Amino acid sequence: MAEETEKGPCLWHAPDNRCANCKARRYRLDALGMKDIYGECRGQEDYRTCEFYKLKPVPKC
Amino acid sequence: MVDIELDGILRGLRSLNVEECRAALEDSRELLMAGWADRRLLQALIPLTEVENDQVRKDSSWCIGKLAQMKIGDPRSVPSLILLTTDRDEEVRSNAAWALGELAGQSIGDTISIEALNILLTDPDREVKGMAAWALGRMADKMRVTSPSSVPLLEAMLLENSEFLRKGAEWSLERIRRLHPL
Repeated sequence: MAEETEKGPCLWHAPDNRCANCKARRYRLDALGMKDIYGECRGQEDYRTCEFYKLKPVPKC
Repeated sequence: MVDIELDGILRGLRSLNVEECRAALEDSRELLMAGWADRRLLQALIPLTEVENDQVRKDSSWCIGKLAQMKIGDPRSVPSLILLTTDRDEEVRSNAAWALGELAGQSIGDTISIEALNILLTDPDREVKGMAAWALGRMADKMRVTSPSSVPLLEAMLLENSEFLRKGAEWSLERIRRLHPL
């Protein structure tokens, strides 16, 4: 099976590894039951499954 | 540090000039993200949910959701949010579902909200579907209100490829079934 390609950085992934999307955090806390790490973004691990993932736009020069 | 100039922001939110209004919405978002909230903001935001500009509706619906999360809600925002669940923009629909779910924490909402959220369970956008499932679970959990018509729609969501959505549907069904055991 082909390995999944990495996704680009998410718009909501803050530099301190927090998720900056209030709706996503709420969903992770309640619906996904991620009690301790609901506010944390684990990068690729979360990008693959998170429906709130949004590719961070590349700034135009 | 956030420089709070509420009067200026409120003037901007009430401005008929779209650019001024958008700037005031950005300031509102910044204030809310910094943990500062005021009920007067909500009063100015509700009419903006009917503005033609997509970004204005996106930002105003997000701010209403964030205020509700901060326990500032008003039943008068519910009809506007219900209308937004049919918006052409998926981010607006998702924000509306989120806000309705947050308002449930203050026992604000009604059976029409449930029907609007049921419709979103078949939305083509997966974020919207997830938020709608969560909001229905919140209403069951916090307000003890639910509708039997949500159950088959949530059960259909259990068959989704997305684990994210399946778990959301499970969470919601668990709360609905606590009220109406099979």
